[in-house]
Amino acid sequence: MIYSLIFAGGTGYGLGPGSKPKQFLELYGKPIIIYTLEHFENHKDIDEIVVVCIESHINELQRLIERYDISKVSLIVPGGKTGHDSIYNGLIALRDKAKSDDIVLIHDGVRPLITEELITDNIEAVRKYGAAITVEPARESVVHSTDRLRISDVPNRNNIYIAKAPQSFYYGLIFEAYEKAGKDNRKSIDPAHLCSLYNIPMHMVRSTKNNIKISAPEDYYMFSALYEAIENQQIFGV
Amino acid sequence: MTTALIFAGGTGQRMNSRSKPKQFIEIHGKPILIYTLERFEYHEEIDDIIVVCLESWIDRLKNYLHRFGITKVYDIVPGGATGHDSIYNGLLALKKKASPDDIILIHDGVRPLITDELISENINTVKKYGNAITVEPTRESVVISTDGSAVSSVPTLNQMFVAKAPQSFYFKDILQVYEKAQEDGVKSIDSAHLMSMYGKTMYMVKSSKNNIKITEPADYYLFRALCKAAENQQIFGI
Repeated sequence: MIYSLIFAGGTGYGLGPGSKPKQFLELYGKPIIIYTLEHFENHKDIDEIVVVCIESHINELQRLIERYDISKVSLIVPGGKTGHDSIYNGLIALRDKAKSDDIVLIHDGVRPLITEELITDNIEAVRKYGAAITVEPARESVVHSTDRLRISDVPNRNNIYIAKAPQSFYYGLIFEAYEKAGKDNRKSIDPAHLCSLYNIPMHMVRSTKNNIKISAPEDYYMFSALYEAIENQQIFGV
Repeated sequence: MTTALIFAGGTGQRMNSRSKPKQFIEIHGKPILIYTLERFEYHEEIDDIIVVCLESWIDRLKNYLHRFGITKVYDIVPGGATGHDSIYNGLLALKKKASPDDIILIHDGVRPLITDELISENINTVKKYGNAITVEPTRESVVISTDGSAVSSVPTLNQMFVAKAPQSFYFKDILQVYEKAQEDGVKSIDSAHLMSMYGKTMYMVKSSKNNIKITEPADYYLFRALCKAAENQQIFGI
């Protein structure tokens, strides 16, 4: 079985207090989370979807899933305090049904421009290597600073990549890592960061283009602009 | 004196715009490079501007400067084979008139969304610490891989920053490292990278928002969307 675990637990503070959680912001009347879910719904290799959702919006999500005919969502579980806790909640919810050699693709609800090809590449890379992290080569230099004022070093840009999503694993491997972090009381930024804390080998999968994360107001403009460009491409092939 | 050195030497290979280098692509009838130059033209602490330009476009640039009322550009010099060489060309041209304690802000012609405050911050930081590298905290995990396939490490996110522009220096300091690099046959990705190769201490300035570099088609769409949002803001204050 191949599961997709979609993280939609964020509160949207990135877009300013009082605004809707960002995964529920709409473009052309359709919420961002639905754009994201549709890619997994329509991919033939994905069997089931688990959504980790901010608790206050679970009912709203339930209604949206019905309205947009998303049939693969088998579970909606409440998010935790941090992104780390939310992913862990999702993995715990899968415990009763997933086998250790099932594949889980962990994806952000606010990355709606994922492609069919990237989902396929993730699945293939897990089969081959066990852990697959979607990345993009860094386009600007990355600098390292330990005191937030002085630059301590500028690593070679050719070796630097930015982690995106999906981040995909055999269920047993990733569940065990989160269980261990629970015992050790460690939190991580994303599964890739957690795996690196426990020295779990990971393989990189090149992201398809425009796999943006909508977390600040300008990202919404970018999504809207890219979506329009992608729609125009259907006709003009620009 | 405070001088802006604007790099506009690129050819736009990644932009699908075979006919035009990316810095000359127009948005609402105005080339991207002119948007960038206007920010320095209207900043009261900038005394003059030198542009390093793709050689075949120098005459066209002169026309644009006239048409858009850019008066501070006192020299246009041809770019070199790489970005590194182009900046070196600019510094050599500056040698004729700059004094060692002049402040030089090195900026990309394809970063049009720089702000007044960021220019001022760069100048203040050079005066306080000796140099200034504009950075942004990374928003996604950074991954290091030495073989382009397996992940070697995932550094702590809050110590990693993305280098942007301007990158600003006292003229004597930056000329010295570029001349040394010339002797040593060393090339760099940007000035921050070069300074780090020679073990110079650098200081960070936090970038204003949306300081994007337009190098790919998606960036062009984003810039256009942000221009529109900024224009709407004048009226609606959103």
